[in-house]
Amino acid sequence: MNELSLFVLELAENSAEAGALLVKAEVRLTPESVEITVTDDGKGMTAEQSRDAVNTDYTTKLGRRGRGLPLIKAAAEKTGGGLSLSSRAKKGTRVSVRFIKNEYCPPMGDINSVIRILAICHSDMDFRFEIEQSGKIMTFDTRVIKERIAPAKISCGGVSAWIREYLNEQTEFIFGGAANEITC
Amino acid sequence: MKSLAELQAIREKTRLQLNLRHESPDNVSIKVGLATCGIEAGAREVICAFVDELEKRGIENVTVTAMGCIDKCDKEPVAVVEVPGEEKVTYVNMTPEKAVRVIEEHIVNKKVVAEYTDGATV
Ligand SMILES: Nc1ncnc2c1ncn2[C@@H]1O[C@H](COP(=O)(O)OP(=O)(O)O)[C@@H](O)[C@H]1O
Ligand code: FES
Ligand SMILES: [Mg+2]
Repeated sequence: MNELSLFVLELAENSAEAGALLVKAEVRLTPESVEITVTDDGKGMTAEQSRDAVNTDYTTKLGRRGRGLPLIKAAAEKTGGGLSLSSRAKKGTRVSVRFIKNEYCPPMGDINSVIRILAICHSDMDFRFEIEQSGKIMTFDTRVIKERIAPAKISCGGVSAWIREYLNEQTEFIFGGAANEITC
Repeated sequence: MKSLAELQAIREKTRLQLNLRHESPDNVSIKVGLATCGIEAGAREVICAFVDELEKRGIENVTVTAMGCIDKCDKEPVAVVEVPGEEKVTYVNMTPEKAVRVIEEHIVNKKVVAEYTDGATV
């Protein structure tokens, strides 16, 4: 799982599995670093759970689980960055991950697909994405879309096509010529 | 530039279709495992292939959703297809190409792709 966009997907799925209704994800790129912050209003964790969650194979789920956060933390630390988590039971969780740009920093990968499938596969949740690179910002907010298309669903064909094209345009604007790296 | 006004146009179009079709009750569900194992094995690409193929064919009665772990780590990506009134089918070791074929055969032609199912000997 060595792509920043897949880390965003893993964090957002943690939020979904915690019963979040709104997930906000921010990706900020500077010449020196990439910072990813995912904030949710899910069921949160106690102080003890928060400590365990990042450090061990701690999991509250079935199966061979508990690898997500440790994996992301290790990837961030390998670049000289790190992961911090703050959470309050019944309130929500915020995970911030900082990568230093160097040979160890994973590529962004296909962030557009991550945003699109989250919006479509969790149509009962809302997502707000903000990506910033050197002063250029793109936003994507499912609440804005749903307001415009009701009673049609966000998963319907026309909307899903619109989302794909919108995201392609926006990330091309943000990343310029390097858009190939991050689009479908 | 994509505009929000276009979304309103899509809504008008969809509203007409909804009126023609009534509520479509026989919703087919496709669930793809999006736990860590699934993500590592390529679930993102598989979901994209499902969504793109449905969009391309104009199929509107199929919902693609994410599911957690069903304890089949070494068989991820996993996709569970449920057609109302039929037994659910678990497809394993999915790829984007297989996803396209599942839409073609299982969803459109109503024939399970046996060779992609769990337990099939290939
Ligand atoms: N956003 C979140 N909200 C609430 N609990 C969380 C969140 N993210 C992680 N956790 C808790 O931390 C545990 C470990 O997460 P993770 O390392 O991603 O492994 P997994 O998701 O496979 O359990 C989860 O099982 C869950 O109990
Ligand atoms: S832990 Fe591997 S598929 Fe669930
Ligand atoms: Mg996880």
